[in-house]
Amino acid sequence: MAGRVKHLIDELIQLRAAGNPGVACFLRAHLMLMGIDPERYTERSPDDANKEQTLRQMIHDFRGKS
Amino acid sequence: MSVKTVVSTHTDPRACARELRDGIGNLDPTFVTFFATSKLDPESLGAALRQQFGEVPAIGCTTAGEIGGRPQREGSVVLLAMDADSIRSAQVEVISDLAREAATRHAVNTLAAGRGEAASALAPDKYLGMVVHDGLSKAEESIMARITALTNVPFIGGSAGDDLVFRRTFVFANFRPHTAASALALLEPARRYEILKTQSFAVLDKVLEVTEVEESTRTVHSFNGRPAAQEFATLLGVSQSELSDNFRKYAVGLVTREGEPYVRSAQQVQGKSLVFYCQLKQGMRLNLLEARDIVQKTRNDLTSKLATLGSCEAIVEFQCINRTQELESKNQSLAYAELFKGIPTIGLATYGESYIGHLNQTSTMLLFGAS
Repeated sequence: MAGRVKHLIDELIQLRAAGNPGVACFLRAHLMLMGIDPERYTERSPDDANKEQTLRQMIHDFRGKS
Repeated sequence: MSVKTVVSTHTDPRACARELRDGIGNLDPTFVTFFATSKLDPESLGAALRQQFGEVPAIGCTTAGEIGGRPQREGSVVLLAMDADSIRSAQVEVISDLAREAATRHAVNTLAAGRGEAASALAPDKYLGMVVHDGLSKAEESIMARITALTNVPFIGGSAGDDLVFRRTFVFANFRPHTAASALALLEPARRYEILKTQSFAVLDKVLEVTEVEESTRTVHSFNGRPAAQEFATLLGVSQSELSDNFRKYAVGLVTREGEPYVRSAQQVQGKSLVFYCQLKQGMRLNLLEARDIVQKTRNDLTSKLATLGSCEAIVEFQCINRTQELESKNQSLAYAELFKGIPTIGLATYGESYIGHLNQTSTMLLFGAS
């Protein structure tokens, strides 16, 4: 399988930025500082269980209990 | 009158607090921020400020030098008071257990609940965050990551100092001092504001990938699969014994697609490894950064932000202590101070800067608009 990390990055940015380019830029920087550079992931990038777990947790944190 | 900046150099905390309160005159503050020399006892200062300012929401910290009435000073307390014409509302929380994820979540959620919102629903065009950390906690990365994970509201700030003694730093939440803690303020500005993150580096095309790292101690053991110190020295074209002499001139940075660097600075060589002033993670790709003129770059960035803002009634600056020292060594402190001429400004020399994450060799600023 490939592309899961990119899909989760896109999901997180869509969830939080909802089309706001300023927030999207803010989030891309946040992801880079978390060790997930959005520019490095494409549909063909190998899946990475650790990165996927981090991103799922970020989506959960924002969507869930906060 | 909606803002007032004041400075006191009194060495007696009660006299200092009284002078600061007298200095704001008739202003009825809705928010106060202040930065204090570490030479004053934090408990005594906090108690004296509480007595003078009462229940006004306030955030502050100790410093490695204060900014207020340029150039930078030492042995003072600088304070900015803002009334409802500038800050409609403010609320302050403290994170006392830096290791516990739930403590940060609780603080952010409490701030949001105070506005009747969930943290995720706080609008970044309506609210603004300010944050100060214990500058010796080495917890800034995790705290900033947790805050940013919970809300789209940007939190700007820095790490407290202790005049380069590196023994103990304090943050203040509603004038109460805390160590091993971070303090957060959620502000609802009544007027426009701008955030400025500025660093004076050129991004070079030489790249280092982190291949072995110990995140908790901010130590990189290898870059590009080779011992970190050796690889960094090779990239600079210097010997390993000369490497630490180049740490101020060369840093590394995560660079966004817009070309914006987030600076990470090396602190020391430790055997074959490199210790940094902030955390790096496995697999990060970092560009080599080469220092440029601080005054010129800051002038350009500040001018641009001021033009966007229109008119500015106050600036709060979190200035890296390394930038302060660089300006002093090049006899540029006055030239830097001139950049802020005519704008009430307070700030501090920090042990690290905060915006989205924890940064080095950067200045983060909040620019409050006059309209």
